[in-house]
Amino acid sequence: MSYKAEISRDNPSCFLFLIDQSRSMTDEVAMGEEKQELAKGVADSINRWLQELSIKCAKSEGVRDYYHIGVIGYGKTVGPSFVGPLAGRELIPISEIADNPARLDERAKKVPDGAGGLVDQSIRVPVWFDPVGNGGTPMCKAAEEAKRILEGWIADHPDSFPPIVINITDGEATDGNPTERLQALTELETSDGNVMLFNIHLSANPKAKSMSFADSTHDLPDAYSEMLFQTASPLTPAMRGLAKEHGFKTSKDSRCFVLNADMVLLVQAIDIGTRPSNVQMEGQHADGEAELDFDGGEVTEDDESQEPDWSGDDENPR
Amino acid sequence: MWICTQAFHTPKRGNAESEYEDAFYPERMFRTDLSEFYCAVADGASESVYSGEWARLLARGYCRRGLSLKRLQRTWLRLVGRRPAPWYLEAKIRRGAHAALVGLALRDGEPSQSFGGSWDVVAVGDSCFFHVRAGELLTVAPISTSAGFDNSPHLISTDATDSFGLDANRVKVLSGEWRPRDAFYLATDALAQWTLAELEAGRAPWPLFRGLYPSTNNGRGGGGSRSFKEVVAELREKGALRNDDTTLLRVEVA
Repeated sequence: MSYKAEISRDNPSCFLFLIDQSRSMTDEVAMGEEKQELAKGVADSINRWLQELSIKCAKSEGVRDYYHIGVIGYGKTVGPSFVGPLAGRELIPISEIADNPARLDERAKKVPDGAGGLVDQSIRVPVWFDPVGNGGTPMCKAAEEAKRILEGWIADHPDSFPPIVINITDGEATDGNPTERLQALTELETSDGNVMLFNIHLSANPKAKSMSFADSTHDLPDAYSEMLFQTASPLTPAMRGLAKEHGFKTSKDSRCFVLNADMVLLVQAIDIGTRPSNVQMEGQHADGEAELDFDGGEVTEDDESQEPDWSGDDENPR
Repeated sequence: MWICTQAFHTPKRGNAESEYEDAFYPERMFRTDLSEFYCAVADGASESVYSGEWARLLARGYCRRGLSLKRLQRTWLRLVGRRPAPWYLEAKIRRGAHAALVGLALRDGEPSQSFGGSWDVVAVGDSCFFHVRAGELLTVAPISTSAGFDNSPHLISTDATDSFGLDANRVKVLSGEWRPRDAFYLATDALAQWTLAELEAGRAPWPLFRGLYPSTNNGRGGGGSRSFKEVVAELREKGALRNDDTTLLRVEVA
């Protein structure tokens, strides 16, 4: 059975991003109401994605290495594109990524003040990438690089949950037809299944709609989009289940193909252990709230005498 | 009433003891005479941070009585905010911790009753309660079939604005009567699911549970008794038990 391997620190999995950094990525496209430069949108998305994954793998003692991550840029050159302390490295354990952003930006965030209002809190936001856009779109070369990197990783992790490749591009390769090379990636395999390829197409074509996990070439705006759909892996049944939980419609023909849509949602398609349903239900509080109270008795705000403590209580070892 | 209770626990395979995120209270009582008795098992969600600590606060909070959820939430926030944290821990603490809880209260009956008394149970999430009499299951809650477990149980959150969406139908409250020699078991999800699957297959796990002893050392038990860790390791190896933190609290009353 495929795609059943448990992802653990002893048996991590791997994400490899391929990012189009060609000149055309500096184009501005309409994203909802606003126009945004594609390269900036991609850098923001990957920074947010790495931030989410780091948080997801974080435990009180540090970040657990459930994943190794690589980012290969393709534009004027093809190669690893982390900036800062991780520059030049191909696949990096998530703990090192979390501990080594290029910088931490301070941003203000509105948080509940506990009394029904909102208060500004300063939070630190990590940045690993800056937008890049120059040169052509050597997608064939990028796919070859990805194959080389993953062959090495799979040799070291033969029983892992198969690596996932996420290719983000505005479409047209300038070094040939990448179809076969992209297919070659999905022919790589661990004992748990084939490498999965997600293609994320950021299209400036005015006919392009926003769609996630498309199941046919119907409604795709052009041949580039169709090529990216055809080479993308089918969604696994487990991924379909999770996509459904997140409100996406899928069918048995759905593929790991996204057109002009938010890639941060993809992080939610891979699961580690229990995900509390409350988290998915944020903002959808049920009516008829009932406070859980262990004896129904009032506890006054200033009574700290019964407050439990984690330490110094040998009658409760756990 | 006389209470004998024993907790059994083991972390997920591949994790250290210090990474165990279930909780229980109390650990052990041997023939203790009480007029009321409280015990609880809680299961911290593996995706939250400091969720083992949250599970401990909940289990103990239930048993000590008089502590509102709001107070426990404030305590958790104060405790996790003690030290400066890297950005990812700071962000994860802001999202709060989550845990399932099942708590059991046993009370002596009225003096006019010849023997026995009452019990009540509070359950949120997928940790389960089993009431067994003479080898027969009388009550199980809040989940009653092995197919009823999924990866997204509704849990108790440390975030007051979130968990206060805990509506009454997500908190399972049950009560009943106990008689001398009844047994109660509180189990976190993996073992609860296995227990229900055994019952569905026509096999009763109660003799196994009755004979369990807590650790692998000092050769206690004998006569069919087995160490909890051995049993759990064997069931995981067979693929019968999901690899997860596993906790069982056994309560015998007379």
